[in-house]
Amino acid sequence: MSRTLRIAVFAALVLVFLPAVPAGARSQEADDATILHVLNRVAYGPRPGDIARVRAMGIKAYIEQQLAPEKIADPDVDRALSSFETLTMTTAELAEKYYRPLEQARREQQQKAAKDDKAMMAPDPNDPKNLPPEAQALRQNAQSVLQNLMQARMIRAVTSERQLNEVLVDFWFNHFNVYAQKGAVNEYLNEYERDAIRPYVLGNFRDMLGAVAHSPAMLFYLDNFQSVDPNMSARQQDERTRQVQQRLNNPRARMTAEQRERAMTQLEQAKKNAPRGINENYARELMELHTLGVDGGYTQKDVQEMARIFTGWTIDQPRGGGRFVFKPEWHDPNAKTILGETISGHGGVDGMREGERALDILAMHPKTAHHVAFQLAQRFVSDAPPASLVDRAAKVYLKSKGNLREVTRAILTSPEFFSVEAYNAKVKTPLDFVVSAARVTGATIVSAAPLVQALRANLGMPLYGCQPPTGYSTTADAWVNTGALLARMNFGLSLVSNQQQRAIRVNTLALAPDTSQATRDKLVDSILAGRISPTTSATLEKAPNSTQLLALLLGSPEFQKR
Amino acid sequence: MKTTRRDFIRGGVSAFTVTFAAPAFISDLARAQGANRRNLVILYLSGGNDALSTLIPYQDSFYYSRRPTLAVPAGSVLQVGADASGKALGLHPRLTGLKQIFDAGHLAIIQRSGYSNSSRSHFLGTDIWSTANTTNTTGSGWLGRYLDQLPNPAPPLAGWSAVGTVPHSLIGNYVTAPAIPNPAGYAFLSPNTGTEATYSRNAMTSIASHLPAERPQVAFVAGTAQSAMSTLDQVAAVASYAGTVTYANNGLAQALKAVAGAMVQGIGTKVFWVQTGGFDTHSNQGTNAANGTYANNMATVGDSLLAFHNDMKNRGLLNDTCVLVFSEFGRRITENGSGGTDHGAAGVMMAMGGLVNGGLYGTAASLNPDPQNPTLENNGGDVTFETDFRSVYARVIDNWLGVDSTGLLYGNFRKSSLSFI
Repeated sequence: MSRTLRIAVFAALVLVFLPAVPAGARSQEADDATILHVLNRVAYGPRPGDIARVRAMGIKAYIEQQLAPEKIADPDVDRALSSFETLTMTTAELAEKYYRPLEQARREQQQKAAKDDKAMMAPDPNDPKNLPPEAQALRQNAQSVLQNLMQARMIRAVTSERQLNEVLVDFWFNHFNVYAQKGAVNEYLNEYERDAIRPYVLGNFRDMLGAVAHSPAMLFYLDNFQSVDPNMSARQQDERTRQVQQRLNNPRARMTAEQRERAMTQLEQAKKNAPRGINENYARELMELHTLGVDGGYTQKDVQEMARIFTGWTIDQPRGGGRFVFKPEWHDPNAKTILGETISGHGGVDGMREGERALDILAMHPKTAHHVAFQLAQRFVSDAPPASLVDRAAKVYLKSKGNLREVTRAILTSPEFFSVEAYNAKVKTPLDFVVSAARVTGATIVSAAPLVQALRANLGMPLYGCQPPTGYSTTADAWVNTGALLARMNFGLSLVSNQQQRAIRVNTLALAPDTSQATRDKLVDSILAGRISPTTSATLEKAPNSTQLLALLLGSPEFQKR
Repeated sequence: MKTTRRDFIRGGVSAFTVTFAAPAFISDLARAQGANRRNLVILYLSGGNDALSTLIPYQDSFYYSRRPTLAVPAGSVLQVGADASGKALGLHPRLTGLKQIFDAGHLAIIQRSGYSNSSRSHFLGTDIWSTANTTNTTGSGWLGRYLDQLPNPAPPLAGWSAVGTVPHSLIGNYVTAPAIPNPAGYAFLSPNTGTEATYSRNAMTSIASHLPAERPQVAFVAGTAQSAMSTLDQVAAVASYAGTVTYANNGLAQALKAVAGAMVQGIGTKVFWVQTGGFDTHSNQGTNAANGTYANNMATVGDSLLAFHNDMKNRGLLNDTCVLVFSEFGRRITENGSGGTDHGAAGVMMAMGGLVNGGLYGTAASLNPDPQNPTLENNGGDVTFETDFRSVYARVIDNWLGVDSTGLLYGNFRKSSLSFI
């Protein structure tokens, strides 16, 4: 930081009690404040020129446009993402190209370690440091799949013209949260976001709920892939084991003794790990988090019945990039009762209909309507959204049979959304902050890695990194504190001073050619719609150069809100 | 009477004196605050810790019949004797660190702690433990309420969350605590040093100390501008702390190292929030496998606490800290079909410190699935609580923090047999 800034800031502190002229006291203020409010909620805040664009087309038209993302061309995003080949690959393709070679190398390393040293002192084969160089490269390759996904998420959030769509992808991913670091979940993340979340954020809730229920990512994350009928006979359980044994005993198999031994060990392991009863994890979160809500009126008995309904919903080769499969032999064929409704049991492939029926019931339940309406209203309006709005949006949900475009529209066009109390009522999450800072400064992104890294390292909100199924908190209490502010100010400073300019560039001088009153007013208008406290205004007044001016603006309390 | 913020503002000084009425309490507070370095460290095991794998009833035959793959063999548990009911108990074999602390008499284990009608929801369970309220979980956190009562203005680092967000427990009616997951990253990006750096910080401080009128607890900077600024140096001192022992390179050990650093530097933090996750073990819990999830969790917890314990002992500060360990619920007794355990009821709490009266508190459940078994609930499916978790909080608040627990917990939860501190 330059010496002049230091002096200027000191002066600012001295002058802090002098009345500052509110920079935005001009005729456009009311309109611009509303436009900024809309951009802060429907989008991740304005880019340079956005306020004027929305003013020209009208707020209503802008919201309608955003509600129909399929009609919005997005050439910049298409271009930026065209180099990430992994985004469009299937899970099987990713497994084949990225994950299996790494696993193979790891296995070889493990065998080698076991052979080299039978004692306990063998280096941990799971520690990446102990991998041979060629396996290190494979590991980096495999990691690039997740890296691409993270960078793509940030590129879309910052540059997409379909802003509402991107806001909703984040919202719904968080609603149906999965954690990248749990087991094989990372192998399924790419298809999860692409195929189970993205297509439905303005579609039908039941469709998204179904896509999630069928997704290997969720089946793995919440363990349902291991949930089986506890009464399943031992014979059925051992079916696969027997088949493998038969193969081994086949004289034409031509296996070395060592290979045979290894296969037997794996078989024993598989037997030991074979599922033997229900797992309640998915069934509970399906009701608490995905649909009814924690006060949804279900009981522990309902959780267990629900788990029985979903027995057999599993993954073919869960750790091998497999796909959803329903295994009738794992399914509990007896009748179940959930939420007072009896669902008749089915054997064979018909058993899967029970799960579909349960999803139908849950999706159309009034508690689900209320839960979804509340959460959306909390994202778009305020931490404690007005009950009137939530009730109305819930009615729209039920009437439209879970049409999320209608529910979202009901919220974004409501008087509560446009009430003055709602303006700036939300505190930005770290993700909101990082994306809005990159947008408002018109940053050119060559690589989004610094944005991904900032969220992971200092801002405490790594992408795909929320371990509990609850997802990240979206309310102010969790995120607002001194430590967080410091990290945000540091991010702002590093962004506008182009510390990682090969990845992200901000044209500081175009935004702020100088630090004059006129420039400051222009910035305060375009970034904060003229709303600025005397304290912040006085501090900005003493900024010695463009970089510091922008950094202070991004660090201001006003910019932490939306 | 619960004082809301509006009442507080309206009532001014008179509302203030309601909270600070009892003279005895004021002297207790003064005494507790006289020990500048004395602190409470919460170690939260996130996800619902399987208490029966932490403290193992290794002679209960039902433990083995109901956990055919998860039971830890009797021969490998770390025996800690028997409780008042005569039940033999042992720590998980990977809790060797904790066992050393237990043997030194500095670890209290409070069995079957929880509350009636235990929630199986991570969300709700956490909120109940955070607010210390089983019926309304939207209010302030119990530790936040403690921070609220510190003399005004509370030092900005009176509370410290070592995770990226502020846990509900630390959110008071008037104040909150900074989230500083990594002390080394807690510095204003400025090439300057010494007095010159103060100018850059002033910019940060002046711009950040703008308080939202309605909800001061969600201001980015609590306390005065002056004190906010001073936190930077204090945290920098913590970041540079070198322990007298080696702390492992994992999140928990490093967080405890920061706590130790804060104590050695005497920065006045009263409450630390430290947490470690991975306890939501619905599948492949791995209680016995060398690299099992649960086994590794136990090793991390035990070894990290031992490092902290020994470091504090070497520094002569062991009597100034009390670590309280808990989770949002325990897990089901019978293992599920995927080598894991589903959400259950009562759990185990632990307290560690130089002034902690070590030993076993409360009695273990019998795991006999008979529905009439009084130590179980949910048709013999879950361990039922014996000690209300708020009684444990009360003991810590009254006897360690020196504050009247009935005010902070909205009721009298004192239980004299809980003499662990």
